[in-house]
Amino acid sequence: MHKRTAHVNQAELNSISYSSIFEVGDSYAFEPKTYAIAVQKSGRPHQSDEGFDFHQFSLFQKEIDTSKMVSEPSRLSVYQHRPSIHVNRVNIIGVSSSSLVQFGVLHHADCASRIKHIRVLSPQQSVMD
Amino acid sequence: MMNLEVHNWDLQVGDIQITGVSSSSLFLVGDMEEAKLTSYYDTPPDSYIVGSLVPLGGGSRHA
Repeated sequence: MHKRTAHVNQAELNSISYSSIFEVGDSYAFEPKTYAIAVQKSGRPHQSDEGFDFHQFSLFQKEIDTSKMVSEPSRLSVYQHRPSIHVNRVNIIGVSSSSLVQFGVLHHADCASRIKHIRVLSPQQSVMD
Repeated sequence: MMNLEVHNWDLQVGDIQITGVSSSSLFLVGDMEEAKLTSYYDTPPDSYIVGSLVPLGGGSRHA
């Protein structure tokens, strides 16, 4: 498949963090993984705030077989009638946690994210629910 | 039997404003062949721990 040239006049990215990428140009593959545990707990910091580990939670262990879910067209034909893509201005506030902003050609992406949020409630709070 | 035929004509975009691109996400200006995206997400009320100051073993519910 013929790939078009990307033209971007102006780009402004306020912040890029946690293994993210801003790329101007072509690349072949992008295969990021994000694993995150976000714990919210009332009160002051305490020793028990630590000790959350990925292997304690099944969310980070289980594997779902995606091979049966992929349905590719048996015949795909793409016709590029124009050699380029034009974008005047791109403004992004934040790029975070193994993400990508790219102007150019990318062959394939295989992205995975696993995020677990935990609230630690005091006994009083759980009665209120 | 799926037969997909795509014709890409002019693509001219003015301004793009994005607040955030996060958690193995992707913003691409250009062409690509294939994208496979998986996301596992768990958040309260399905996931909480009550009462214990110790993260494991003391909660009355622990998803």
